[in-house]
Amino acid sequence: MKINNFSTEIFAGINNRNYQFKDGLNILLGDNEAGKSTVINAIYASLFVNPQLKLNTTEGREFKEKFLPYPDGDFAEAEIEFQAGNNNYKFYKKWSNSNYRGFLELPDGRRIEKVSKIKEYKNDIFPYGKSTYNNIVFSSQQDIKSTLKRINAEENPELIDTINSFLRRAVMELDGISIDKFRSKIENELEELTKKWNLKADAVQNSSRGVNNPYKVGTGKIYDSYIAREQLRSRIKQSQINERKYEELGLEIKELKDKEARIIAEIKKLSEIESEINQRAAVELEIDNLSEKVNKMTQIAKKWPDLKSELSKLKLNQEAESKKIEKLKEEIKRAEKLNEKQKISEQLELINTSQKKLAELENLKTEFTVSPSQVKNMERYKNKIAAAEASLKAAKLRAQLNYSAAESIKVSTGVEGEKIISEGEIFEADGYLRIKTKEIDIEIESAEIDFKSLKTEFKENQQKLEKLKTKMKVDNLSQAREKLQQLTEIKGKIEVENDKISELLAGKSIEKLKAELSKLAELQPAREADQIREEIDRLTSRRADLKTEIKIRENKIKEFKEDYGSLTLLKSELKQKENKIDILKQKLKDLASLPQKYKSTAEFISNLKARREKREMINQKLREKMNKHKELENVLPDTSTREMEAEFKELKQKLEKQKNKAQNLLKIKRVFENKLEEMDQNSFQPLVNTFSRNLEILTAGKYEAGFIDSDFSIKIKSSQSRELPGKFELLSYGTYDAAALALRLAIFDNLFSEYGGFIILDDCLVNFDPERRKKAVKLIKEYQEKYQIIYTTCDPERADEFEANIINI
Amino acid sequence: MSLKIMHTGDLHLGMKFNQYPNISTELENARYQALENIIREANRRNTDLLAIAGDLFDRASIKNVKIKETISILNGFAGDAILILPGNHDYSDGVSNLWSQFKTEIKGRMLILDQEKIYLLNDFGINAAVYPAPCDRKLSAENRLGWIKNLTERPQTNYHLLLAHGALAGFSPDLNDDYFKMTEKELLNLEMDLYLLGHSHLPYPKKEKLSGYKIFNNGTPEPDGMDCSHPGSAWYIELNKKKEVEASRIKTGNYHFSDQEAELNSLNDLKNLIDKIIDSEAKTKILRLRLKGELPRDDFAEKDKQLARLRENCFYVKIDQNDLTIKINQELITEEFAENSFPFQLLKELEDNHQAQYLAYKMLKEVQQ
Repeated sequence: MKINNFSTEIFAGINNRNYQFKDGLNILLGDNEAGKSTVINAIYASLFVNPQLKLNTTEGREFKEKFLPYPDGDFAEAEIEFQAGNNNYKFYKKWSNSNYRGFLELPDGRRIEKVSKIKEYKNDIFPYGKSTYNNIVFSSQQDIKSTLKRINAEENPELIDTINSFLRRAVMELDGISIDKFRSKIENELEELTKKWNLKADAVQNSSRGVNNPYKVGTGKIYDSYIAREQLRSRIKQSQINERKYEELGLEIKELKDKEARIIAEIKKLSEIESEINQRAAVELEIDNLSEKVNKMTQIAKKWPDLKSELSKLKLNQEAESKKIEKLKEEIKRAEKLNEKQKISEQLELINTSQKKLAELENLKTEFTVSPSQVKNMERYKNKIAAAEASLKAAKLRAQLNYSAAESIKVSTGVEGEKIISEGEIFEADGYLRIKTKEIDIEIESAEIDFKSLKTEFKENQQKLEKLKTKMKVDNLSQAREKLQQLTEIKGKIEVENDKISELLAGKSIEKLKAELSKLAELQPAREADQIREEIDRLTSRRADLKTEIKIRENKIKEFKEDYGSLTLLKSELKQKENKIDILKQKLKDLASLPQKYKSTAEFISNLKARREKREMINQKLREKMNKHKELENVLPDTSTREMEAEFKELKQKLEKQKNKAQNLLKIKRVFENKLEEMDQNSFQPLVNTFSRNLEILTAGKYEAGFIDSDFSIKIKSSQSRELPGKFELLSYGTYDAAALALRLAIFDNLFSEYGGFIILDDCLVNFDPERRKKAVKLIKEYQEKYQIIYTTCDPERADEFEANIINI
Repeated sequence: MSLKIMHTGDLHLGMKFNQYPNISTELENARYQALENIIREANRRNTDLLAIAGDLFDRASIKNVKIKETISILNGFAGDAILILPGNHDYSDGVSNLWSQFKTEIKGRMLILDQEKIYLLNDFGINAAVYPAPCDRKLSAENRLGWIKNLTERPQTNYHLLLAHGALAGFSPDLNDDYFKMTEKELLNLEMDLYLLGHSHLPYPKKEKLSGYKIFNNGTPEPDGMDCSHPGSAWYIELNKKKEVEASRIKTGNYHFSDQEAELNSLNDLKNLIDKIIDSEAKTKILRLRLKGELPRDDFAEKDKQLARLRENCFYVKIDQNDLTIKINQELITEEFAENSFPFQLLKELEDNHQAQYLAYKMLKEVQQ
């Protein structure tokens, strides 16, 4: 596409201009302020700005400010003829707020005014949109420079320290939108929405900081909306609960009130007769008391005379009994006396017997002629004999007659007499042996003893013994002892009898006893003392009973007398009381009667009391509940449930919208990162190549083409000088201008090489030193072969450097 | 002598409008205003009887000063008697003070129908008996017509009027059996001359003028929310000697709510919409407008000016424009972003998700230098 002709009647400060453009390089030459940039702007406007100026858009406002004639021109106008493909088109535009006009003239002469139609055609004619033209074709050197500067100044230098990434950035950010800033924007928006919220789980991040304990600060919008919604939800619920409670309470109160009313009515009815019933109770009580007294008194009146007669009877009985007892006592005395008599007789009897026995014994005694001393002597004699015998035995001799010629041998042994022994006979002798024959007489004595004295002693004692025996009339000692024993026994018995007799006498003499006996001779008979005593006891106890009975009655009568004075007085008092009772009974008739259902006045009274108490209780309860009711009333919200529910719905929707936004942001982020990655991976090769080539030309080949690698480490920044192979510090090459020019031309070339086109260069060499300018001119010359270039400058010498169509402004 | 009745109810005096903070006072006052309107209309027609079929107040805890104000307004009625039935919001449970307080302030011809008994209006010069079914609580599965059904005899009056508060089966929704539901059949069985009902905020029957009907639901005289699309009305009913009924609906509302949604494709669509809205009583309109659609960029830039028009002319406007976006098409993208720049690429890639695309566009413009 290329521009053929531009004309304007009035546009900003210029008017009535007409310029022809040719292929290749066109130089717009004019002083500063001559309007070169105005022309460029006008060309841009005639292609891209709608005639209808909308003053509420930036473009419209800017246009008005910049391009409508000052001071109060209200329209601008221009016409441009251009060629696309092999077709010639024309745009006519009159820019104005109200009085605008514009058309596209087609190759065949038709004019299209409708904006939408024009748009359609433009889509076919122009290969790219307005923005591309704005940013690349028409952009000023300054714009590109700023882009570069901006990219250079970005925070991540590593990202752009290769040509590739640099170019990439440059292309991506041609619209003036920083990738990093956009990324931050997404992050910020997301954070603002999702702080403390877990989007994936669709819940609060920290489950312990939900609606019951929410964060107060540091929360995102979604969290806030969620909490608000939940708080409202529970408020709604709570208010429903409260309402229900309030209602229930109201019903309870109503019930209680009814109950109270009923009870009050009952109480009222009952209390109408209350006082009379109370009176009735008192009167009844009095009647009861009196009746009781009357009963008692009546009984006493009856009893009193009875008691009296009983008393006298009893007293008579008592006397009789006493008399009986006296008699019995006498009888007892007699019985005792009779006993005594008997006793004495018996005693005398016994004494007699004993005396007789005694006489017998005395007789017997005389028969015994032994005495203890005699026995003792006997014993002594015997002992002595035994002793002697023992001594003789101790000196026993044994002998044997072995032989004797004598005819008779007489032997005396011990103390024994002579005896004849025979030959060969062994014989013993105690202490003494005398062998006597006619021829011999031997006496042998044991030398150990004094046989003679022994024998004498023996013989003496023996004699004595015999004598004694004779005297005692016993044969032996044992007999003597026996006799002695018997004698002792008899003595003993005699003693016993004696004792007996003394006992019986008991100090008295027999005569005395006999005298006593005779005294008791004349006695009347009597029963046994025991029997009599028994009877006496019986009678005594009967008499005691009687005494008690008498005492009781006497006491009773005493009581009566104390209470009533006399029987007469009692009777009169009784009458009085009976009268009173009648009066009271009459009174009862006049009082209100007890309602049927009560069995007694007490029941009535207690019932009434119970009701009053119940009423008090109900009233208490009622007051409590009414207080609670009032409290609840204050707690009930004044927003209706309906409103709260509508608010809830809105909160819900708000939350949804915010979540959606968050999701959208996530999507944008994903796509964004994907796209960047894609774009990173995309080969910028053609662009890099073109750029490098341009650069080569501009830097006079200090840059080898052919070794161009998408990742060669070309230092674009100058802040760090590192020794790198083939390094070329582009931007330390003085200005950004060369890079900017190279870049612009490269991007342009890449876009338009298929279509052809035009590009506006606004005095881009103004900052170049002569050396570099030469190179730049060379570059531009290359491009003008292929594209239409409109170059603006104020310097005529510039014009000369080129082969160009010079247009003087 | 015919009987002229103004039938209303569900005023919900004391109702709060916390959702509309800027105009809540006006809306609260409007309800009192509506009552005044009703009375004015009633007086104009020489109405004999004013019947309020429940929910005169929004709740039991109404301040004394407001009760006095209400009575003062009611006193402006020139007719013979005013019947006030406790509804399920201002129910009479013998506990709360509302009606006892009310009763201490009123004089003479206002009757609070809080008991299930026959009220004779002869003392007020009206030969009629009123059979009320008052509410004693907020929610109930059973209606309060029972005592009327059990009546064995009726007084000899010219007219027999029934006042009740609850849902009319088939007309007023009562999914959980909460609102003292009554059926037409059950009502007609009671053989009354007229049935004046309250509770539903929609008037019934749906016609503006009719004759021969006996069952009426007042509907609210002042609209009370976005879900209330009618302008607020009361029934004016004439009962002639032959007990024939002539009824007409009288508009009484001060404000009206309008809940609208529109899809726009262009600024013109918006302009037309706004013109239409402004034309339809904008001064008393409480508008909630939800706009969606995609506008061309330049139209989008102009929309706020139009919307300002709306705000200037309507009483209250709440606009939700979250779904109204700029139409981002290829044309826009190429117009605003250089070929192959990353915004260009990004927006192209988000083509299938308009919401995300628009959001991205917004953010790009915000970041752009």
